[in-house]
Amino acid sequence: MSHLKIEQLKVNYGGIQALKGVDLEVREGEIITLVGANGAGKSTLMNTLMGLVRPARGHIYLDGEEITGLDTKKIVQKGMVLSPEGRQVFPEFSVKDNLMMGAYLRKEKDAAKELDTVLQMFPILKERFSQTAGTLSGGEQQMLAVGRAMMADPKILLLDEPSLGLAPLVIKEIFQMIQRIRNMGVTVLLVEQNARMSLKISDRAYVLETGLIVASDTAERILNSEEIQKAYLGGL
Amino acid sequence: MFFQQLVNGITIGSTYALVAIGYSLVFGVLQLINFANGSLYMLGGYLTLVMYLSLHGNIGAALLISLVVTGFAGFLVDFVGLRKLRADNAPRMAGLISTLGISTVIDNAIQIWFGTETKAFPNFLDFGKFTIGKTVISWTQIIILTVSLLLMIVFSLIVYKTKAGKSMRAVAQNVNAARLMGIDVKLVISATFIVSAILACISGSLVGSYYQTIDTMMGFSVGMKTFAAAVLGGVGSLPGAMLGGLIVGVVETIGASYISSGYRDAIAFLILILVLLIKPSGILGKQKIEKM
Repeated sequence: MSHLKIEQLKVNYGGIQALKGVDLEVREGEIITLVGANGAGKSTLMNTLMGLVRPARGHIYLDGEEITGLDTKKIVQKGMVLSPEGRQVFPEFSVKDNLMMGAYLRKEKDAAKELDTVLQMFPILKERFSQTAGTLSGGEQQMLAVGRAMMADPKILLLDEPSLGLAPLVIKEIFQMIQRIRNMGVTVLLVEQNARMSLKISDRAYVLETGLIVASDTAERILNSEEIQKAYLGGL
Repeated sequence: MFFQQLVNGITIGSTYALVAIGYSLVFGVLQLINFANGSLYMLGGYLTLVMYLSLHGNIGAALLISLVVTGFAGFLVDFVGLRKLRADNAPRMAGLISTLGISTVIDNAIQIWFGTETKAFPNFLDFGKFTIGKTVISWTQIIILTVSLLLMIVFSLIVYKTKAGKSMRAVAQNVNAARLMGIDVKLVISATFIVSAILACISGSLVGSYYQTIDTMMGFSVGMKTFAAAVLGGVGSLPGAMLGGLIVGVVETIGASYISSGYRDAIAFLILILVLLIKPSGILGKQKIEKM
Protein backbone atom coordinates (compact mmCIF):
# COMPACT_ATOMS: atom_id res chain seq x y z
CA MET A 1 0.00 0.00 0.00
CA SER A 2 1.21 3.44 -0.81
CA HIS A 3 2.06 5.25 2.37
CA LEU A 4 3.25 8.57 1.03
CA LYS A 5 2.43 9.69 -2.46
CA ILE A 6 3.64 12.84 -4.17
CA GLU A 7 2.08 13.97 -7.44
CA GLN A 8 3.41 16.64 -9.78
CA LEU A 9 4.80 18.71 -6.92
CA LYS A 10 5.99 22.16 -7.94
CA VAL A 11 7.65 24.52 -5.50
CA ASN A 12 9.01 28.02 -5.98
CA TYR A 13 11.63 28.87 -3.44
CA GLY A 14 13.84 31.92 -3.20
CA GLY A 15 12.81 33.18 -6.64
CA ILE A 16 13.58 29.96 -8.50
CA GLN A 17 11.51 26.91 -9.33
CA ALA A 18 13.12 24.44 -6.95
CA LEU A 19 10.82 21.51 -7.77
CA LYS A 20 9.41 21.26 -11.28
CA GLY A 21 6.84 18.49 -10.97
CA VAL A 22 8.06 15.68 -8.73
CA ASP A 23 6.29 12.31 -8.54
CA LEU A 24 7.34 9.97 -5.78
CA GLU A 25 5.86 7.08 -3.88
CA VAL A 26 6.84 5.46 -0.60
CA ARG A 27 5.23 2.17 0.40
CA GLU A 28 4.78 0.99 3.93
CA GLY A 29 7.88 -0.51 5.53
CA GLU A 30 10.28 0.64 2.84
CA ILE A 31 13.53 2.52 3.07
CA ILE A 32 13.64 4.93 0.14
CA THR A 33 16.67 6.97 -0.76
CA LEU A 34 16.51 10.25 -2.61
CA VAL A 35 19.82 10.85 -4.36
CA GLY A 36 20.83 14.16 -5.85
CA ALA A 37 23.57 16.76 -6.05
CA ASN A 38 23.67 19.91 -3.96
CA GLY A 39 20.86 22.25 -4.98
CA ALA A 40 18.83 19.54 -6.70
CA GLY A 41 15.90 20.36 -4.40
CA LYS A 42 16.12 17.48 -1.92
CA SER A 43 15.77 19.59 1.22
CA THR A 44 13.09 21.71 -0.42
CA LEU A 45 11.13 18.53 -1.03
CA MET A 46 11.51 17.46 2.61
CA ASN A 47 10.48 20.90 3.88
CA THR A 48 7.48 20.94 1.56
CA LEU A 49 6.37 17.52 2.76
CA MET A 50 6.44 18.84 6.32
CA GLY A 51 4.46 21.98 5.50
CA LEU A 52 7.39 24.34 6.15
CA VAL A 53 7.32 25.43 2.50
CA ARG A 54 4.10 25.82 0.54
CA PRO A 55 3.96 24.18 -2.87
CA ALA A 56 2.83 26.16 -5.91
CA ARG A 57 1.17 23.09 -7.39
CA GLY A 58 0.71 19.39 -6.93
CA HIS A 59 -0.53 17.03 -4.26
CA ILE A 60 0.86 15.16 -1.27
CA TYR A 61 -1.07 12.20 0.15
CA LEU A 62 -0.35 10.45 3.42
CA ASP A 63 -2.20 7.12 3.76
CA GLY A 64 -4.52 8.21 0.97
CA GLU A 65 -5.43 11.48 2.66
CA GLU A 66 -4.38 14.76 1.09
CA ILE A 67 -2.04 16.76 3.34
CA THR A 68 -0.89 19.41 0.85
CA GLY A 69 -0.61 22.80 2.52
CA LEU A 70 -1.49 21.57 6.01
CA ASP A 71 0.24 23.07 9.05
CA THR A 72 3.36 21.26 10.24
CA LYS A 73 1.61 20.50 13.52
CA LYS A 74 -1.15 18.58 11.73
CA ILE A 75 1.35 16.66 9.62
CA VAL A 76 3.32 15.62 12.71
CA GLN A 77 0.07 14.50 14.33
CA LYS A 78 -0.69 12.37 11.29
CA GLY A 79 2.57 10.51 11.81
CA MET A 80 5.14 12.06 9.46
CA VAL A 81 8.20 13.51 11.17
CA LEU A 82 11.41 15.08 9.84
CA SER A 83 14.87 14.97 11.33
CA PRO A 84 16.19 18.08 9.57
CA GLU A 85 19.45 18.74 7.79
CA GLY A 86 22.19 19.96 10.10
CA ARG A 87 20.58 18.16 13.08
CA GLN A 88 19.05 21.34 14.56
CA VAL A 89 18.93 20.13 18.13
CA PHE A 90 18.09 22.76 20.76
CA PRO A 91 21.60 23.61 21.97
CA GLU A 92 20.61 25.08 25.35
CA PHE A 93 18.26 22.25 26.30
CA SER A 94 19.44 19.09 27.98
CA VAL A 95 19.30 15.82 26.07
CA LYS A 96 16.20 14.98 28.08
CA ASP A 97 14.42 18.24 27.23
CA ASN A 98 15.34 17.85 23.56
CA LEU A 99 13.78 14.40 23.52
CA MET A 100 10.69 15.60 25.37
CA MET A 101 10.31 18.40 22.81
CA GLY A 102 10.02 15.68 20.18
CA ALA A 103 6.92 14.43 21.97
CA TYR A 104 5.51 17.96 22.27
CA LEU A 105 2.11 17.00 20.83
CA ARG A 106 1.76 13.80 22.83
CA LYS A 107 0.36 13.15 26.29
CA GLU A 108 2.80 13.29 29.19
CA LYS A 109 2.31 9.60 29.92
CA ASP A 110 2.91 8.45 26.34
CA ALA A 111 5.98 10.67 26.15
CA ALA A 112 7.47 9.14 29.30
CA LYS A 113 6.94 5.65 27.90
CA GLU A 114 8.44 6.60 24.54
CA LEU A 115 11.45 8.07 26.35
CA ASP A 116 12.35 4.63 27.72
CA THR A 117 12.11 3.09 24.26
CA VAL A 118 14.24 5.79 22.64
CA LEU A 119 16.88 5.64 25.37
CA GLN A 120 17.11 1.90 24.86
CA MET A 121 17.62 2.47 21.16
CA PHE A 122 20.28 5.11 21.74
CA PRO A 123 22.25 4.16 24.85
CA ILE A 124 24.62 7.09 24.28
CA LEU A 125 21.73 9.49 24.94
CA LYS A 126 21.17 7.83 28.30
CA GLU A 127 24.79 8.55 29.20
CA ARG A 128 24.43 12.18 28.19
CA PHE A 129 20.92 12.52 29.59
CA SER A 130 21.30 15.77 31.57
CA GLN A 131 24.05 17.33 29.44
CA THR A 132 23.06 20.28 27.24
CA ALA A 133 22.81 19.31 23.60
CA GLY A 134 25.28 22.00 22.52
CA THR A 135 28.08 20.13 24.29
CA LEU A 136 27.53 16.84 22.40
CA SER A 137 29.71 15.68 19.52
CA GLY A 138 28.34 15.77 15.98
CA GLY A 139 27.50 12.08 15.99
CA GLU A 140 25.78 12.30 19.35
CA GLN A 141 23.79 15.30 18.17
CA GLN A 142 22.68 13.31 15.13
CA MET A 143 21.57 10.45 17.37
CA LEU A 144 19.71 13.00 19.47
CA ALA A 145 18.04 14.52 16.40
CA VAL A 146 16.82 11.11 15.26
CA GLY A 147 15.84 10.12 18.80
CA ARG A 148 13.90 13.35 19.11
CA ALA A 149 12.05 12.59 15.88
CA MET A 150 11.29 9.07 17.14
CA MET A 151 9.72 10.57 20.29
CA ALA A 152 6.79 11.64 18.12
CA ASP A 153 6.11 7.96 17.35
CA PRO A 154 6.23 8.46 13.57
CA LYS A 155 4.74 6.11 11.00
CA ILE A 156 7.05 7.59 8.41
CA LEU A 157 10.39 9.17 9.26
CA LEU A 158 12.08 11.65 6.94
CA LEU A 159 15.84 11.91 7.38
CA ASP A 160 17.64 14.83 5.74
CA GLU A 161 21.39 14.19 5.41
CA PRO A 162 21.87 12.25 8.65
CA SER A 163 25.51 11.46 7.88
CA LEU A 164 26.57 15.00 6.97
CA GLY A 165 29.93 15.94 8.46
CA LEU A 166 30.37 12.77 10.51
CA ALA A 167 33.32 10.39 10.79
CA PRO A 168 33.09 7.13 8.76
CA LEU A 169 32.68 4.96 11.85
CA VAL A 170 29.85 7.11 13.14
CA ILE A 171 28.22 7.08 9.70
CA LYS A 172 28.19 3.30 9.80
CA GLU A 173 26.47 3.42 13.14
CA ILE A 174 23.88 5.87 11.80
CA PHE A 175 23.02 3.57 8.90
CA GLN A 176 22.69 0.59 11.22
CA MET A 177 20.35 2.68 13.32
CA ILE A 178 18.21 3.51 10.27
CA GLN A 179 17.82 -0.21 9.57
CA ARG A 180 16.80 -0.83 13.17
CA ILE A 181 14.20 1.91 12.90
CA ARG A 182 12.74 0.28 9.79
CA ASN A 183 12.68 -3.08 11.56
CA MET A 184 10.53 -1.44 14.22
CA GLY A 185 7.92 -0.87 11.51
CA VAL A 186 8.71 2.73 10.65
CA THR A 187 8.88 3.67 6.97
CA VAL A 188 11.96 5.75 6.10
CA LEU A 189 12.52 8.35 3.41
CA LEU A 190 16.19 9.20 3.32
CA VAL A 191 17.99 12.08 1.66
CA GLU A 192 21.71 11.52 1.41
CA GLN A 193 24.86 12.86 -0.18
CA ASN A 194 26.51 9.64 0.89
CA ALA A 195 24.56 7.82 -1.80
CA ARG A 196 26.53 4.60 -1.86
CA MET A 197 25.92 3.67 1.77
CA SER A 198 22.30 4.75 1.79
CA LEU A 199 21.56 2.82 -1.42
CA LYS A 200 22.97 -0.30 0.17
CA ILE A 201 20.36 -0.28 2.93
CA SER A 202 17.48 0.98 0.76
CA ASP A 203 14.75 -0.89 -1.10
CA ARG A 204 14.21 1.65 -3.84
CA ALA A 205 15.69 4.97 -4.86
CA TYR A 206 14.87 8.13 -6.76
CA VAL A 207 17.37 10.43 -8.44
CA LEU A 208 16.55 14.13 -8.29
CA GLU A 209 18.24 16.53 -10.69
CA THR A 210 17.51 20.28 -10.66
CA GLY A 211 13.95 19.79 -9.48
CA LEU A 212 13.02 16.76 -11.55
CA ILE A 213 13.08 13.01 -10.89
CA VAL A 214 15.37 11.66 -13.62
CA ALA A 215 15.52 8.02 -12.51
CA SER A 216 13.73 5.68 -10.15
CA ASP A 217 14.39 2.01 -9.64
CA THR A 218 15.37 -0.57 -7.06
CA ALA A 219 18.26 0.66 -4.96
CA GLU A 220 20.45 -2.13 -6.25
CA ARG A 221 19.94 -1.23 -9.89
CA ILE A 222 20.51 2.46 -9.22
CA LEU A 223 23.68 1.58 -7.35
CA ASN A 224 24.93 -0.46 -10.28
CA SER A 225 23.82 1.84 -13.08
CA GLU A 226 26.86 3.24 -14.82
CA GLU A 227 25.35 6.63 -15.56
CA ILE A 228 24.36 7.25 -11.99
CA GLN A 229 27.66 6.04 -10.66
CA LYS A 230 29.42 8.59 -12.83
CA ALA A 231 27.12 11.41 -11.87
CA TYR A 232 26.54 10.85 -8.16
CA LEU A 233 28.75 8.15 -6.75
CA GLY A 234 32.05 9.43 -8.09
CA GLY A 235 32.83 6.23 -10.02
CA LEU A 236 34.23 3.17 -8.36
CA MET B 1 21.71 59.02 52.42
CA PHE B 2 23.35 56.16 50.59
CA PHE B 3 20.95 53.55 51.91
CA GLN B 4 18.03 55.82 51.22
CA GLN B 5 19.12 56.13 47.59
CA LEU B 6 19.77 52.40 47.42
CA VAL B 7 16.21 51.65 48.53
CA ASN B 8 14.82 54.17 46.04
CA GLY B 9 17.04 52.76 43.31
CA ILE B 10 16.04 49.16 43.89
CA THR B 11 12.38 50.15 43.86
CA ILE B 12 12.54 51.94 40.53
CA GLY B 13 14.99 49.35 39.20
CA SER B 14 12.54 46.53 39.84
CA THR B 15 9.98 48.32 37.67
CA TYR B 16 12.62 48.76 34.95
CA ALA B 17 13.32 45.05 35.18
CA LEU B 18 9.72 44.23 34.29
CA VAL B 19 9.96 46.29 31.10
CA ALA B 20 13.44 45.00 30.27
CA ILE B 21 12.09 41.43 30.40
CA GLY B 22 9.79 42.38 27.52
CA TYR B 23 12.73 43.47 25.35
CA SER B 24 14.62 40.30 26.15
CA LEU B 25 11.68 37.97 25.50
CA VAL B 26 10.86 39.43 22.12
CA PHE B 27 14.52 39.58 21.17
CA GLY B 28 14.94 35.97 22.22
CA VAL B 29 12.08 34.79 20.03
CA LEU B 30 12.46 37.09 17.00
CA GLN B 31 15.99 38.57 17.26
CA LEU B 32 14.28 41.92 17.07
CA ILE B 33 14.14 44.92 19.38
CA ASN B 34 10.51 45.89 19.94
CA PHE B 35 10.78 49.67 20.22
CA ALA B 36 7.04 49.91 20.89
CA ASN B 37 7.66 48.35 24.32
CA GLY B 38 8.20 51.74 26.01
CA SER B 39 5.01 53.10 24.45
CA LEU B 40 3.07 50.13 25.82
CA TYR B 41 4.47 51.00 29.25
CA MET B 42 3.05 54.52 28.93
CA LEU B 43 -0.19 53.26 27.40
CA GLY B 44 -0.62 50.93 30.38
CA GLY B 45 -0.13 53.81 32.81
CA TYR B 46 -2.63 56.03 31.00
CA LEU B 47 -5.23 53.28 30.66
CA THR B 48 -5.01 52.50 34.37
CA LEU B 49 -5.49 56.20 35.17
CA VAL B 50 -8.43 56.63 32.79
CA MET B 51 -10.14 53.49 34.04
CA TYR B 52 -9.49 54.49 37.64
CA LEU B 53 -11.19 57.84 37.07
CA SER B 54 -14.13 56.50 35.08
CA LEU B 55 -14.71 53.60 37.50
CA HIS B 56 -14.73 56.04 40.45
CA GLY B 57 -11.66 54.70 42.14
CA ASN B 58 -12.09 50.94 41.71
CA ILE B 59 -8.40 50.27 41.21
CA GLY B 60 -8.73 46.50 40.91
CA ALA B 61 -11.12 46.67 37.96
CA ALA B 62 -9.16 49.56 36.46
CA LEU B 63 -5.92 47.55 36.52
CA LEU B 64 -7.60 44.49 35.10
CA ILE B 65 -9.09 46.35 32.13
CA SER B 66 -5.82 48.17 31.57
CA LEU B 67 -3.91 44.86 31.54
CA VAL B 68 -6.27 43.27 29.05
CA VAL B 69 -6.28 46.25 26.69
CA THR B 70 -2.50 46.76 26.84
CA GLY B 71 -2.00 43.03 26.32
CA PHE B 72 -4.18 43.25 23.24
CA ALA B 73 -2.19 46.27 22.04
CA GLY B 74 0.96 44.16 22.44
CA PHE B 75 -0.64 41.45 20.31
CA LEU B 76 -1.47 44.09 17.67
CA VAL B 77 2.13 45.34 17.53
CA ASP B 78 3.08 41.92 16.19
CA PHE B 79 -0.10 41.17 14.26
CA VAL B 80 -0.26 44.50 12.43
CA GLY B 81 3.37 45.50 12.36
CA LEU B 82 5.42 42.35 12.03
CA ARG B 83 3.54 39.25 10.92
CA LYS B 84 3.33 40.24 7.27
CA LEU B 85 7.02 41.15 7.27
CA ARG B 86 7.93 37.70 8.59
CA ALA B 87 5.77 35.98 6.00
CA ASP B 88 7.60 37.92 3.28
CA ASN B 89 11.02 37.17 4.80
CA ALA B 90 11.66 40.90 5.07
CA PRO B 91 15.02 41.96 6.52
CA ARG B 92 15.12 42.40 10.28
CA MET B 93 15.67 46.12 9.93
CA ALA B 94 12.18 46.44 8.43
CA GLY B 95 10.67 44.95 11.59
CA LEU B 96 12.69 47.31 13.73
CA ILE B 97 11.47 50.34 11.81
CA SER B 98 7.93 48.99 11.97
CA THR B 99 8.00 48.83 15.78
CA LEU B 100 9.43 52.37 15.86
CA GLY B 101 6.51 53.48 13.69
CA ILE B 102 3.96 51.80 15.94
CA SER B 103 5.62 53.38 18.94
CA THR B 104 5.16 56.82 17.34
CA VAL B 105 1.52 56.06 16.57
CA ILE B 106 0.80 55.07 20.19
CA ASP B 107 2.68 58.07 21.62
CA ASN B 108 0.91 60.54 19.36
CA ALA B 109 -2.51 58.96 19.89
CA ILE B 110 -2.11 59.44 23.64
CA GLN B 111 -0.94 63.02 23.15
CA ILE B 112 -4.00 63.77 21.02
CA TRP B 113 -6.45 62.18 23.43
CA PHE B 114 -5.03 63.31 26.74
CA GLY B 115 -2.87 66.29 25.88
CA THR B 116 0.84 66.60 26.49
CA GLU B 117 0.69 68.00 30.00
CA THR B 118 1.67 65.90 33.01
CA LYS B 119 -1.30 64.17 34.68
CA ALA B 120 -1.81 63.53 38.37
CA PHE B 121 -1.89 59.83 39.17
CA PRO B 122 -3.52 58.44 42.32
CA ASN B 123 -1.26 56.62 44.75
CA PHE B 124 -3.33 53.53 45.28
CA LEU B 125 -0.46 51.93 47.17
CA ASP B 126 -0.23 54.60 49.89
CA PHE B 127 -0.20 52.83 53.25
CA GLY B 128 2.19 55.16 55.06
CA LYS B 129 5.90 54.78 55.70
CA PHE B 130 8.35 53.70 58.37
CA THR B 131 12.01 54.39 59.19
CA ILE B 132 14.94 52.08 59.75
CA GLY B 133 17.79 54.17 61.18
CA LYS B 134 17.83 57.22 58.96
CA THR B 135 16.30 55.44 55.98
CA VAL B 136 12.67 56.17 55.21
CA ILE B 137 10.84 53.33 53.49
CA SER B 138 7.28 53.74 52.27
CA TRP B 139 4.84 50.90 51.93
CA THR B 140 4.49 51.97 48.31
CA GLN B 141 8.10 50.97 47.78
CA ILE B 142 7.67 47.68 49.62
CA ILE B 143 4.62 46.81 47.54
CA ILE B 144 6.26 47.77 44.23
CA LEU B 145 9.32 45.71 45.05
CA THR B 146 7.26 42.74 46.23
CA VAL B 147 4.97 42.78 43.20
CA SER B 148 7.91 43.10 40.80
CA LEU B 149 9.95 40.36 42.44
CA LEU B 150 6.95 38.04 42.65
CA LEU B 151 6.21 38.61 38.97
CA MET B 152 9.83 37.88 38.09
CA ILE B 153 9.81 34.66 40.11
CA VAL B 154 6.48 33.44 38.73
CA PHE B 155 7.54 34.41 35.28
CA SER B 156 10.89 32.61 35.52
CA LEU B 157 9.12 29.50 36.75
CA ILE B 158 6.79 29.63 33.76
CA VAL B 159 9.61 30.11 31.27
CA TYR B 160 11.96 27.49 32.72
CA LYS B 161 9.61 24.88 34.15
CA THR B 162 6.38 24.71 32.16
CA LYS B 163 5.72 23.24 28.75
CA ALA B 164 4.51 26.62 27.46
CA GLY B 165 7.74 28.24 28.65
CA LYS B 166 9.83 25.52 27.08
CA SER B 167 8.06 25.96 23.76
CA MET B 168 8.94 29.66 23.95
CA ARG B 169 12.59 28.84 24.60
CA ALA B 170 12.56 26.26 21.83
CA VAL B 171 11.38 28.91 19.37
CA ALA B 172 14.12 31.23 20.64
CA GLN B 173 16.79 28.59 19.95
CA ASN B 174 15.62 27.34 16.58
CA VAL B 175 12.33 28.35 14.97
CA ASN B 176 12.55 25.75 12.26
CA ALA B 177 13.15 22.87 14.66
CA ALA B 178 10.42 24.17 16.98
CA ARG B 179 7.95 24.10 14.10
CA LEU B 180 8.99 20.52 13.28
CA MET B 181 8.16 19.50 16.86
CA GLY B 182 4.60 20.65 16.20
CA ILE B 183 4.91 23.88 18.18
CA ASP B 184 2.52 26.60 16.99
CA VAL B 185 5.13 29.29 16.41
CA LYS B 186 2.62 32.05 15.62
CA LEU B 187 0.90 31.40 18.93
CA VAL B 188 4.20 31.48 20.83
CA ILE B 189 5.17 34.79 19.21
CA SER B 190 1.76 36.34 19.97
CA ALA B 191 1.97 35.12 23.56
CA THR B 192 5.43 36.67 23.89
CA PHE B 193 4.17 40.08 22.79
CA ILE B 194 1.11 39.86 25.04
CA VAL B 195 3.17 38.93 28.09
CA SER B 196 5.69 41.70 27.39
CA ALA B 197 2.89 44.24 27.09
CA ILE B 198 1.28 43.07 30.32
CA LEU B 199 4.56 43.38 32.21
CA ALA B 200 5.05 46.87 30.75
CA CYS B 201 1.51 47.81 31.77
CA ILE B 202 2.03 46.65 35.36
CA SER B 203 5.31 48.52 35.50
CA GLY B 204 3.78 51.72 34.09
CA SER B 205 0.92 51.60 36.57
CA LEU B 206 3.25 50.97 39.53
CA VAL B 207 5.53 53.83 38.51
CA GLY B 208 2.56 56.16 37.99
CA SER B 209 1.45 55.38 41.51
CA TYR B 210 5.00 55.79 42.87
CA TYR B 211 5.64 59.23 41.35
CA GLN B 212 1.95 60.16 41.38
CA THR B 213 2.29 61.65 37.92
CA ILE B 214 2.42 60.35 34.39
CA ASP B 215 3.29 62.12 31.18
CA THR B 216 3.49 61.29 27.51
CA MET B 217 7.30 61.26 27.48
CA MET B 218 7.64 58.53 30.11
CA GLY B 219 7.34 55.81 27.49
CA PHE B 220 10.25 57.10 25.46
CA SER B 221 12.60 57.70 28.36
CA VAL B 222 11.82 54.47 30.23
CA GLY B 223 11.71 52.54 26.96
CA MET B 224 15.25 53.64 26.18
CA LYS B 225 16.48 53.09 29.74
CA THR B 226 15.05 49.60 29.96
CA PHE B 227 16.47 48.83 26.54
CA ALA B 228 19.84 49.86 28.01
CA ALA B 229 19.08 47.59 30.98
CA ALA B 230 18.33 44.64 28.71
CA VAL B 231 21.58 45.21 26.80
CA LEU B 232 23.50 45.51 30.06
CA GLY B 233 22.13 42.19 31.30
CA GLY B 234 22.61 40.54 27.94
CA VAL B 235 19.79 40.81 25.42
CA GLY B 236 17.84 37.58 25.20
CA SER B 237 18.74 36.55 28.75
CA LEU B 238 15.86 36.62 31.19
CA PRO B 239 17.89 36.77 34.43
CA GLY B 240 20.11 39.30 32.64
CA ALA B 241 17.16 41.61 31.98
CA MET B 242 16.12 41.51 35.63
CA LEU B 243 19.66 42.17 36.84
CA GLY B 244 20.15 44.92 34.24
CA GLY B 245 16.93 46.64 35.29
CA LEU B 246 17.94 46.65 38.95
CA ILE B 247 21.46 47.91 38.18
CA VAL B 248 20.25 50.76 35.96
CA GLY B 249 17.70 51.78 38.62
CA VAL B 250 20.26 51.81 41.43
CA VAL B 251 23.05 53.48 39.46
CA GLU B 252 20.87 56.25 38.07
CA THR B 253 19.31 56.97 41.46
CA ILE B 254 22.63 57.10 43.26
CA GLY B 255 24.20 59.02 40.38
CA ALA B 256 21.35 61.53 40.42
CA SER B 257 21.78 62.21 44.12
CA TYR B 258 25.59 62.36 44.21
CA ILE B 259 26.27 64.04 40.87
CA SER B 260 23.21 65.95 39.75
CA SER B 261 19.60 64.97 39.27
CA GLY B 262 19.80 66.56 35.82
CA TYR B 263 22.00 63.68 34.73
CA ARG B 264 19.50 61.04 35.80
CA ASP B 265 18.47 59.98 32.31
CA ALA B 266 21.95 60.40 30.88
CA ILE B 267 23.35 57.80 33.27
CA ALA B 268 21.40 54.92 31.75
CA PHE B 269 22.74 55.81 28.32
CA LEU B 270 26.26 56.17 29.65
CA ILE B 271 25.87 52.59 30.91
CA LEU B 272 24.55 51.54 27.49
CA ILE B 273 27.53 53.08 25.69
CA LEU B 274 30.01 51.54 28.13
CA VAL B 275 28.46 48.09 27.79
CA LEU B 276 28.48 48.28 24.01
CA LEU B 277 32.14 49.35 24.05
CA ILE B 278 33.42 46.94 26.69
CA LYS B 279 31.20 43.85 26.69
CA PRO B 280 28.54 44.02 23.97
CA SER B 281 27.12 40.63 24.91
CA GLY B 282 26.16 42.00 28.36
CA ILE B 283 26.66 40.52 31.81
CA LEU B 284 24.76 37.26 31.33
CA GLY B 285 24.44 37.26 27.55
CA LYS B 286 25.77 34.68 25.17
CA GLN B 287 29.06 35.45 23.48
CA LYS B 288 27.63 35.20 20.01
CA ILE B 289 26.18 38.50 18.87
CA GLU B 290 23.54 38.66 16.22
CA LYS B 291 23.98 41.57 13.90
CA MET B 292 20.95 43.80 13.91
